[in-house]
Amino acid sequence: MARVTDRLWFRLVLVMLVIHATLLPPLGLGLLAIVERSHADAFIDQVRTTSRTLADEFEIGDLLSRPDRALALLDSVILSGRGEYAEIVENGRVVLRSDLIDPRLKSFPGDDFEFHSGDDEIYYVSVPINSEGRHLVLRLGFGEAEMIETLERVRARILLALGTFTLVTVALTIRFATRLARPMAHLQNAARRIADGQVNSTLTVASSINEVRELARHLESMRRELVGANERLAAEILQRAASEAERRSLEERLRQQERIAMVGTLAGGIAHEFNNIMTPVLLYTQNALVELPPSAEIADDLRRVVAAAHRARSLVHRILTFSREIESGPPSVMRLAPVVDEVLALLRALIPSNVEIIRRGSDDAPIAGDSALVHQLVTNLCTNACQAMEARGGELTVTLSRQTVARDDRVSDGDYMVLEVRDTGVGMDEQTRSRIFEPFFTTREVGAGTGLGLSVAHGIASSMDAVITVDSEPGKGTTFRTYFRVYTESTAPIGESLDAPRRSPVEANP
Amino acid sequence: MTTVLIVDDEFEVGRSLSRVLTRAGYQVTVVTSGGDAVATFAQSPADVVITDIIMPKVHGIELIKAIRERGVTTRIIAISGGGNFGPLGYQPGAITTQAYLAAALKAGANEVLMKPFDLEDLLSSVRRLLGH
Repeated sequence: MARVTDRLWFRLVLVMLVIHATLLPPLGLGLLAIVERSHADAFIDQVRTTSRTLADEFEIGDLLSRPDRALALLDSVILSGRGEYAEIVENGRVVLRSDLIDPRLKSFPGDDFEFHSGDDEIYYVSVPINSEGRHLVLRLGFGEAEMIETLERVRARILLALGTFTLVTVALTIRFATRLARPMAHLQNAARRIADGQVNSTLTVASSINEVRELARHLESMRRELVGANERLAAEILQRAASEAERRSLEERLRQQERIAMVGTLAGGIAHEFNNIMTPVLLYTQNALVELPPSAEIADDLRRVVAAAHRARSLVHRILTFSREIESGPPSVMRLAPVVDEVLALLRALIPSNVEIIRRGSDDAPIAGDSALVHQLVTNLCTNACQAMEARGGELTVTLSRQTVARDDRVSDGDYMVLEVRDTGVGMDEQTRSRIFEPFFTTREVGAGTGLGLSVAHGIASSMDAVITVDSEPGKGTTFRTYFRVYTESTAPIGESLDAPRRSPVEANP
Repeated sequence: MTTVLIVDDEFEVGRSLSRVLTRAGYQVTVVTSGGDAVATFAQSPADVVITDIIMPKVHGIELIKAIRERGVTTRIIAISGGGNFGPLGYQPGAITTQAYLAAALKAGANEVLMKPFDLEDLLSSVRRLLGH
């Protein structure tokens, strides 16, 4: 809080007071002098006129010859209340003197020429009386006290008027100064709010003072600038955070991709070595078994070696499956229904009890494909559907139907077996929908899903010339439809057109 | 007597095949590289060639092509130990065991076998190719 002496109104009052202090004393003194002068002049005029009139009365009335009349006249001067002193002298000797003169008054002190001069409060005046050649002088004294009192009152009034004037001026100065300072205080508060970070309220100050209006206008434009800069900065920060998040997610995906690729490469390399090692184990053992009589004790041991080798071979196959390299045979004619039923049977054991599986449709036209791959595709689609319903539960409906497609944007015309996997889960928005087939795209928490399931399904479908379509609504659920071309004799071989080789023994022994 | 040429860079693989086929009555030669196989075949073409696919220097596909270029009626079985040596997954261009075996068939192999195979699978393959 600033000191009072630094406040605007205080400074203005101070200025006013300095002006008053400089101008009021000479003004007051001058005024007093004029008033005193005029009062004194009036008094003296009156006294002299009165004296002269009295002297004239003495001259005209020849009162000196009647001393009692003359004395009465002198007494009347004092009795009138204005006179204090009255005598007549002749050649310096008092011939007549009023008995009413205050005994404390000594002899006539001489003429006064100034009002209120000397230490008495009496104005003395002597007027000559022309009377038959005698040299008489009328000496009179008039009381000044009344006039002095009047003058004191006038002086007091003038001082009161000047004091009142000063007080009113100070009061008005304070009033106007605070009014003047009010918009400044508004500006000050606004500036403080801006400094505190509240930059969003518009700054308006009503004032008739041009400078204040200008200042408010500049401050407001500065505030707008600040708000703009703030917004730009905030947007930039958001943008940076977003791009940083995107970068991190890309990095995370890349790392996961690298990790899986590494595992895949490692598994592939190990599988190759392992299969090379297992080949002589299996062949030597089976060769030895041929040479031994079946009843020999050692033959039983060797059969166990063969069984163990088969298990090892199956294990490698599973590792390869994990590393996403499924040993599939070339396409052959197959049917979807058994594969779908097998997948659903497996899933029933795995999914939470709040998800109900419904199987619909009895169409089962043949398609060209590899059952292991189709198995994987159905598994991935159904697993994805179950994950979408993990939180709230729901219904997984798998429908197989034969459909003839004509004039569809997403599927080319033809005769199809359609696998429909419908869930009542969380669904997804357009942005998510457009990315679900990207490898490693996942809406699940980091590490919760590989993000590979749907991309693998898509890859399998593409390799079989099948098409997957997606329809989804957030909160309602998602429907995946996979269109497999119905196999006919005239259908061109799908994939690599090769002489159908034997199925590998691995797949013969799942 | 039917002659069989076995080509595999893993000695024990070749030897175990040789033991089975020798016992089954075939005249077997085993070599451990594609280069040796080409040289051996040039001297005396075998009736059946069983070759690994992934081998250093001259690999199986090259060997199959070299044999087929000679226009002989030799029966060829390609064998492979599996594994994934290319990019992961189902993206186009991924090289898988399937791709190797498919390439072997394209190059002119009559049959493919994935290691490790059973003795019976090997013998029935050879017999089928020889029309026995």
